[in-house]
Amino acid sequence: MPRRLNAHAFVGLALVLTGIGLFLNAQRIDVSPAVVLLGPRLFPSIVAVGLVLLGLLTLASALAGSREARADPADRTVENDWPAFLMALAGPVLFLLTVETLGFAAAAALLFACVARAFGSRRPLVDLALGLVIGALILIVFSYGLGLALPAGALLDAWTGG
Amino acid sequence: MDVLGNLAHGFAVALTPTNLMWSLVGVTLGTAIGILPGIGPALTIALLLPVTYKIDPTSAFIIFGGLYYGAMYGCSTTSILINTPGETGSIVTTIDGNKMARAGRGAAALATSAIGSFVAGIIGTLLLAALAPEVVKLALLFGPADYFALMVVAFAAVSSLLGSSVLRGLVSLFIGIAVGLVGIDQQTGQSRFTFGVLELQDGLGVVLVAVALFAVGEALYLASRPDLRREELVPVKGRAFMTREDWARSWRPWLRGAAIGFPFGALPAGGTELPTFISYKVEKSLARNPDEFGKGAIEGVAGPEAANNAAVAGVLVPLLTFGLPTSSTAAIMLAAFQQYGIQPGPLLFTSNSALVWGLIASLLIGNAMLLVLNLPLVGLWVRLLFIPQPWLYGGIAVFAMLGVYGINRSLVDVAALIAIGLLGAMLRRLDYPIAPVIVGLILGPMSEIQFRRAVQISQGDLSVFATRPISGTLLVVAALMLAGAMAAHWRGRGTVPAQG
Repeated sequence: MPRRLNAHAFVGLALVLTGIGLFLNAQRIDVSPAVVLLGPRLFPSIVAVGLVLLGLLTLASALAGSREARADPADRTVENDWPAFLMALAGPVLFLLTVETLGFAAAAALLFACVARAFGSRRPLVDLALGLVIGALILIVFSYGLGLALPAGALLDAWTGG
Repeated sequence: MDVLGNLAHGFAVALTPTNLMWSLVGVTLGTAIGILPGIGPALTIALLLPVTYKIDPTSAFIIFGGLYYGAMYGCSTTSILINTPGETGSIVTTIDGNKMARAGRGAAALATSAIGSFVAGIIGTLLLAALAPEVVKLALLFGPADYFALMVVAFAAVSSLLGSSVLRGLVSLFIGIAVGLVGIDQQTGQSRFTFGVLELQDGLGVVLVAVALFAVGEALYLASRPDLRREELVPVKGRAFMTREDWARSWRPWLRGAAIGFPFGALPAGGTELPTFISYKVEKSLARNPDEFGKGAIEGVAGPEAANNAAVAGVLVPLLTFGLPTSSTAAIMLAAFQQYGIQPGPLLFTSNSALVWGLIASLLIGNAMLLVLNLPLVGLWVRLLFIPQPWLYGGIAVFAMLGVYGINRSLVDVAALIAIGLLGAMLRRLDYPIAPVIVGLILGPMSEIQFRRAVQISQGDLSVFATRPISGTLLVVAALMLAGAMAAHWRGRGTVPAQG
C-alpha cells in the first residue's frame, strides 16, 4: 500500500507543479492592457488555480491514507509487466522514428510487431510480415484510393528516382 | 404534424441508394469494430474519421450515426460472450448476459439484446425526431451566459457521476480543459502554450487525444497487465433465438429500458452507463424472481440493453440542438461536425435541415439493418472474436497511427500521441476516469468562448451569470450535483464505475 500512496502523492504533486507552471506561462501571454483581466489569460489562470487546488487535495488525501488511496481497485498484488509495457511503447516510438525514411508500410510493420510481441506473440517474423501487409494495404487504399498522402518512404523515393 | 413532415424530408435524403449504402457501411463497420474487445464507439468513430474525409457531410454523418448504433450492438455481443464490456454502457450486460451464455443460453441473451436494442433504438430515435424541434426552441432562448452555465453543469455531471471519486473526476476534467488551452486563442489570435512549436497552433484535437487515450493508452496499460487480458470465449450454438417465455419476459424490460435510457442519455451526465445501472435495479425490483439476477436473468439483459440504445438517441438531442456533447462519443462526433465546418445547435435545424433529418431518418433505417445483422448474422461477427489479442492490438495501433499521422503527416502529432498515450496509461493505472478528459477537452474551449462573449455583452459585469434566470438556475444545479456527489461519497456510497 505505501507504493500506491506514493503514486497518488506524486500525482498530486505533479498537478500542483503543472498548475503553477501553467499560471506562470499564462502571465507571459501578450495582452493589450485594455483586455488584461478578461482576455486570453483568464481561463488559463482559472484552470491553473484549479489544478493547484486539486493537486493539493489529492496530495492531502494520499498522505492522509484516505479512502481514495486505499480503495484503489488497481491496488492488491498487481504485477506490472514492465518489459511488455516498454515493448508496447517501443512500437509507436519506432514508428515515429522510421515513418519518414522507411515509409508507412514498413513503419507500420515495426509498430504492429512490437505491440503484438508486447501482448504475448512469440512469432516476430509472422507479425512483421502481417504488419507489412496491413500497412501496405492501408497505403494503397488511402493513398491511391482516397487520395490521402501517406509517405512511401524516402528510401523508396530515392530508389525509384523520387 | 410537423414531425412527420420533417421525417418525410429526412427519408427522402436517407433513402437514396448512396446514402443507404453509407448507412449499411456505417452499421456494419460499427458492429464489426464494436465487437472487437477494447474498442468502444468513441474510438471506433475516432479511428474511422480519416475514411470519411472525402465524403460529403450528410453521408459522413449517416456513417457516424450508423457507427454509433452499430458499435453499441457490437459491444453487447462482447459483453455476453466474453464477459468484456466493449464500452461502459455494456458493463451491466456482462452480469447476467455472460452467465446466460455460460449456461448455454447465449443465443437467447444475444437475441434479447439485439431486439431490445432495436425496439429502444426506434423509440429513442422517434422521440429524438419529435422532441428535437421543441428543444431547439428552448435552445434559441439561451444566451452565451446560459450556454456557459450549461457547460458548467456538464462539467459537474461528468466529474461527479463517473468514476470512483469526485476528486478524480475533477482532476481528469481539468486535465482535459488544460490540454484544450493549447493553441491559438480564438478571440485575440494569441498563441497559448505552443512553446514555439508551429504544429501546436491548432491545438491538440479531440480525435488525437481520444485515440491517444483510448487506443494507445489502453494498449500500453493492458500490455503491462497480463492478468487483465481477455477471458475465454463462450461458444454459442446456432443463431440468436428466443423462446416464447423469453419474449414474454423481455418485452416489458425493453420498454422500461427505453423509457429510462432516453432521458438519461439527454442529460449532461456522461451518456450510457448510468441508465443501464438504473434499468438493472428497476428490473430486479420488479422481477418475479429477483434471486435469478446475477445468475442469468433475461430481464437483466433486456432492460439495460434497451436502455443503452435509447440513451444513444438521447445523447443526440443535446448534441444536435445545443451542440452540447454529453458523452465522449458525442464529443468526438462534435469534433467531426466542426471539422466539416458545421456547428450543431439551434441554427443547424434551419441551415442544414437536410443533414439533420437525413441523419435521423437514416438512424431508423440503420436500426432495422442492425437487427438483421445481429440476429441471423451474429455468428459472422462472433468469428471476429477469434482474432488473437496480439494481432488485435497491433491492428488497433496501426489504425491509430493512420488516424493521427495520416491527416497532417506531422511527426509532432505522433509525438503528442505517444505522450498523451502515456498519460492515459497512467490515468488508467491510477483509476482516474477518462471520459471527463475528453469532455473537458472539447467543452473547455467552447465554454471559454461563451464566457468571454457573455462578459463582453454585459461589459464586464460578472453578476450576469447569476442574474440571468437560466444561467443562475443551471449554476445552482451544477453546485448541487457536485455537493451531492461529494456527500454521497463521504457517506460511503460508491458512484458508477467508469473506464471512459
